[in-house]
Amino acid sequence: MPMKWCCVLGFVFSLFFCLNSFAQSNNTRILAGRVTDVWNEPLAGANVYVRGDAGYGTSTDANGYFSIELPDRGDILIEVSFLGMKSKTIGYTGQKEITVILEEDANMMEGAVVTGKQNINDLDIRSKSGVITVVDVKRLQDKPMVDMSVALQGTAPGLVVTNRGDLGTKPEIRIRGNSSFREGDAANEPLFVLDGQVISSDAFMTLNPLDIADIKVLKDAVACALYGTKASNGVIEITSVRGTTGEALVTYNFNAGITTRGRRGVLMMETDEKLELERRLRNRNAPGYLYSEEYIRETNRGAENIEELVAEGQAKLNELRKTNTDWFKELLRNDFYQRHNLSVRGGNSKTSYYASANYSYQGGQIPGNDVSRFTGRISLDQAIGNIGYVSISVNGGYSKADSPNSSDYSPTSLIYELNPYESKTSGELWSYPNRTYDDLFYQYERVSTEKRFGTTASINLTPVKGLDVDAVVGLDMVLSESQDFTPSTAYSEQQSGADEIERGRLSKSKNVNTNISYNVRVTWNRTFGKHDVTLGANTDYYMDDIDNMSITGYGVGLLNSAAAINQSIEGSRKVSTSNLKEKTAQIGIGALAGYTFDGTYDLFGTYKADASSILPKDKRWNAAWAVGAGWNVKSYFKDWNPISALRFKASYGRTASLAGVSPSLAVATFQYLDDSYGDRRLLELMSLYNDSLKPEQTISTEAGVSIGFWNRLSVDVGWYDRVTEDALLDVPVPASNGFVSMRRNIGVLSNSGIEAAVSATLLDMDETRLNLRFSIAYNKNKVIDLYDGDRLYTSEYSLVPDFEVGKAYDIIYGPISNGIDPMTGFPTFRKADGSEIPASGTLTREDMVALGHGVPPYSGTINLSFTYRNLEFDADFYYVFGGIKAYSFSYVRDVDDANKNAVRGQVENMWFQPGDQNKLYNSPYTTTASLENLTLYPNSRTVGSSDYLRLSMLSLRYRFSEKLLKKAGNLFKYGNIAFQASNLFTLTRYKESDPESGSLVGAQQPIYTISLSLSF
Amino acid sequence: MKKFIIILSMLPLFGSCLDIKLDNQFTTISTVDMARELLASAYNSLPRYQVEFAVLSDDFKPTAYSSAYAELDNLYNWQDNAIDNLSSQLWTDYYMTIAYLNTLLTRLDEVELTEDGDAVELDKVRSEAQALKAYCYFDLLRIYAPRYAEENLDRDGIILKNRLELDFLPRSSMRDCISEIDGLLTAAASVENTGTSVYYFGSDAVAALRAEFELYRENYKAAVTSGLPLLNGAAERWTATDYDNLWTANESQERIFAPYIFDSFYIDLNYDRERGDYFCLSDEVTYEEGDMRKTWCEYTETPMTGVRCFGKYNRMYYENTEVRYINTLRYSGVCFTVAEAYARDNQPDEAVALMNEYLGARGCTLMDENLSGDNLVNAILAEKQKEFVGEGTRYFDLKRTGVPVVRYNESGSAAMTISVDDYRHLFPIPQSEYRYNDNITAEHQNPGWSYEVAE
Repeated sequence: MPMKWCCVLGFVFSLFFCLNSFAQSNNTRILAGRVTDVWNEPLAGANVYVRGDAGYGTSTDANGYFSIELPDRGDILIEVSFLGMKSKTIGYTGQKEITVILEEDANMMEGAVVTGKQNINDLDIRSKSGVITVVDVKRLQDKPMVDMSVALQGTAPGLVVTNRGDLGTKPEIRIRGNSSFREGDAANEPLFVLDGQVISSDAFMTLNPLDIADIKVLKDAVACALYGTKASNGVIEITSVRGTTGEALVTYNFNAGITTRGRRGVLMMETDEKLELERRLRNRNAPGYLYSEEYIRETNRGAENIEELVAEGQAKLNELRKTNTDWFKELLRNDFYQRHNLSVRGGNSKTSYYASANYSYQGGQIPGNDVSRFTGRISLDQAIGNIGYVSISVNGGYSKADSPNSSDYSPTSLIYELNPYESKTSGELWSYPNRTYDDLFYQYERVSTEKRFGTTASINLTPVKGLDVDAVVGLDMVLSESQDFTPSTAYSEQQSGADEIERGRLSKSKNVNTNISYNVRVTWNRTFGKHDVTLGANTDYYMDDIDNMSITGYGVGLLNSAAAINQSIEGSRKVSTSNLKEKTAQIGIGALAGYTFDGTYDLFGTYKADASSILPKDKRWNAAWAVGAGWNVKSYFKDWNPISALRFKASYGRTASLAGVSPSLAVATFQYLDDSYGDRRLLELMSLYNDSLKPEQTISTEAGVSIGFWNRLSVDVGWYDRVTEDALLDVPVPASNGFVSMRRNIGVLSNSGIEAAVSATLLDMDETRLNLRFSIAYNKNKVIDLYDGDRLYTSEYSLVPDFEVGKAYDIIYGPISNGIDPMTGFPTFRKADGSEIPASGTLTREDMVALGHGVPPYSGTINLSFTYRNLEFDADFYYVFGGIKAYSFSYVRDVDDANKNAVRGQVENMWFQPGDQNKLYNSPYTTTASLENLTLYPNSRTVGSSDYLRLSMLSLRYRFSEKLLKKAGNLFKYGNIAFQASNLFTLTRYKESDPESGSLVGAQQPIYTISLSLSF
Repeated sequence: MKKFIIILSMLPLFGSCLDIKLDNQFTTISTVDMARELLASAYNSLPRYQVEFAVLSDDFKPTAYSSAYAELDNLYNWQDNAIDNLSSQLWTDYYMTIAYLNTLLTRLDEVELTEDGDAVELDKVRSEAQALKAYCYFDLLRIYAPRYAEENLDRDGIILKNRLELDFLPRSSMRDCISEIDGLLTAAASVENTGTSVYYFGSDAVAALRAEFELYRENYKAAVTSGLPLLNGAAERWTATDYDNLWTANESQERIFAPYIFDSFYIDLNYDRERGDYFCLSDEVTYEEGDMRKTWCEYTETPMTGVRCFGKYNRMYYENTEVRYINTLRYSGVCFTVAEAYARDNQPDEAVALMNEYLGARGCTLMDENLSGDNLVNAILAEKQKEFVGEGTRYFDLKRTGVPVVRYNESGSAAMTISVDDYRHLFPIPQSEYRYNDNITAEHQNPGWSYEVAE
């Protein structure tokens, strides 16, 4: 390891010297630089000017960069100011580049321009003991990806984002693992808050990254407790870009490029090998056998023209050999990506505004899969006299995702099925008898759109010094619509047995999700000598309303319209409707206290009580509380530079959670079904309710340290332990209860882990800077206790308990494979006593071993930034390791499906006759029963490590120099051009397509773009 | 400022305003209509295993396609795993219906009576719920408990459940189960419930079920008493039209209780409309010319040659006719029950007279008036099989009367015989019960079946 580092450093230094000598030749008095806040976030629109010389001034661009021409005189003082920040004055001493870090100024009162603060839970005192990771929004914006939530991958340690399918599918977003035994988003997804307003994860997906000023990931109890019981899975706090002072700045940002096919998962056979495989599999539905000499001789024994027939067969095979289609290239496509963004921001000391419009499009790998999006946003901040501000923002968006993949039909999988000797025009397919290539496409179409509207209004008042009264109220609505269409000509419809007029299926659904929330907070802060005291109280309300309506009908023929449904159809194809309406509300009241002594010791405590409509009255109130402490050791040796920062933090808290719980689980609830019995509607009991249902309790403990060395190297290490008590799960109950499962509080689980980040400024010269950041997160889950015994089986047939005290609950179990028996060609397994059993034998619990973790415990990133004068280079790597995934082996063919293409090398690796040693694939002559153990469980040979390393972002940007802009006639204030790319490559040992989603379809695709940004 | 503080201090009061009422979700059954609609869900959830029970019985024999549907073929051959799978499905299904009924029965007292007819209607709902529960218990008892005999009464019956809430209950004795069914039927019969739709469990259905139940527990006189009144004017019901209409969506006077369905029914017997069925009529079930049952039980328009395909619902499937009613209790069934009770109660003349009334109406040769004893009983049962072939009834009669079940292979020769005392006559208690219910231990599993709890 040290050796490697030396090499890297050596390389970097030599690079620097060579660049530095080149830099010396420049002599003009132009100062370039960047303005950031203390989090190293760029401040866009900050004013930079020469004191006393109004002619020399400029403001920073969207990424905080500026370049200013200086008057030809000595004693130049450069003034840098930004809304809500303490201004800074810097003496010019001939340097070429400066970085100005502005600090927030909470107490700037008279006449100062401060934008309103809408995320009113974002209190200074909170960050002193809580664990809050700030996402580098600039890097997020550099990633050319249309999907905001997928782009979030790798932006904060402990925030794990996993892509789940094709483009437009919501990824899995988790902060520090699943906090519940239950899987799924409802129980484990973090809370999303945009400008103080709770939004749904679907709404988050459709945000425009360029409208976002700041994203904070709140991980521990202290940070989250302010949000109460909603926040047990962590919070993602988003602040949008707001207005600024000064002249209006119009920025146009354009990004265009190509999306490519990405990584080839499994290499499939070429024609020669495939025909040979078919010959050996001896299935007459495949041409390799049907036209083979041996088959012809066998079936035409004694025929006079036998030689003729053999020659005919050979001719047919030779004809097939002329075609060698690579279906991966044929079916997947290169498409394009584009993004246009236009924004205006400006204002004066009293009023500031921001407005933007954005259009993005990304084409997926398979034709018919794409996402396009249009968003708009307007925000306004207005000072009210000298006591505060009013802010209003409105945002909306429209996004549309198309997909040809349905749950039971995926054209992407055809890559692994169509034969190399077939082509789009070769007529009837061997792989799909009676069907041509055209019969395989246009089988299904899904369009989903999302229309979002949100508005937030807030007021921030400081009626007397030290007292802040803040209130925010907001509304967020997402209308999600989807339309699924299977035309009557689709193969599945043709085969359905339905009458011609009943063919063609259409399903349409509309879902409105409305969130209304408000939060009112009073905070009082006072400093008495060395004592700094903060007291606060708040009350908030949150309402979530889901209203869903869907219709499914048949007989639409070729019309993709709900109006075409044939309503006269009776029976199983009768038109059906369904409705879901769920509304929950929560009201809370909270108090907090913070104390800082001498800027060294911090104590913070918060308590919040929330009442939720989910539970019956007597159990309605639940609490979230947390205490935290911070110790700023650096204050003891302020002047000793080698250690530039040293701070310890610890916190403990408890939060009740009702995530993923609906009222019908706690009290008997009835609803009407869309079915009927005779002349009556059906009133149905929704579930076997549990009258003793309690909220889950999340107990978080956290400790962390941050150290900085010479302002060059910073290290953050944190340890956490999050225990979930009374964890809920749908557990099986005796079937004599009528229902087979019931949601019960079944036990205690824990997630614990370590998160570390090292950030180093390897080079910091006038014109050259090199930053490297490395982060890693480790999460370990464990079942601590089960209230009903030591083991829990979620199915009456499962061999291995799904949950077992003391064990992790994401373990994949299976038998150890002994490989393929050279005599029989069947897979064999090792029993616990060392003996061997065939795949049809009965396995017991003892024979099953832990094969590995289904969820990779380690994940992290490597970020690299290099700046040389006007050139910037950024690269992000994302990695996960420590997990396994099962292979599907669906592309290994046996006799029955010999007519579909197979994995390359199967002829070599398959057992065909007794004596075949060390084969990978079992005999092709089998029955389902004889392979039972192989198909029921993964085994040591059918799982693979899902580790991967991905170059997730690469950006090379050139900022137009002041000189260049002048040449262009001063039309532009700023400008830059960049090459940006995302998901360039993924390195993995996983043998099937995608180690992330684990499926042959739906890997994240590489995107290469050119971006141009101009400000007027 | 003051205003702010006032507003602030008022906000927590809203905590009590969180009783959100949704217009499509209810926590109480407040009206008689709702009670009826919840009962409709119970009716709708009634298990439908007619095909499976018919295959288990001797109504059918295999065809060339039988092996293409392994699960049904295994069931025909009474294979353990197939019976086990069927057992766990139907156990869950029957108890689901019982759960609905318990939900309803425990909430009937909350129902507000606002209009005149409400009290009467509510009584009917209660009566139907009780009868339906008795119906489910009776089926379960016949499936899971040994055949009725004095010495078996203390053996395990089924689980009796009286509320919706989660329970971990033991099996009750057969004696207790029988007494529970008796009680439910008595309670149900106390309400006059006539003239309702055939898809509701009216008074006649209660009496018919009572007759069957009394025959089951060898209480022959009671079986006659309950059943006989239903057969007044039976000849008018047994017309050709009423018989034909049984297999249509039209009304038929022959029905006593026939659940209403909207989706497909009895489609499992058919392999492919273009090719044929997995099973066809057994050689033992034959019809003479002129027997009106012949046209509906033997279906000739199928693509299969050389075998007698089954008609009824299967024919409806071939002909793409929608099934609206599942004929569950029929007047002819009551006739068989009463006739058998007479015969077993040494009243052969009454039995033969009744049978001949029925046979005459169906257009068949009449019974020999001198028949008596076992011969008479067997003759009645043979006619019963002809009437109800393919409807699943036969399975229960085979078990009740102790007849060995012969299994044939595709070529038509007898492959094996399930003896009268075969352990498979009692379905196994499903795995979900013994894995998750501590009150179902190894000794409560039916003999011969596995009891494995991985611990």
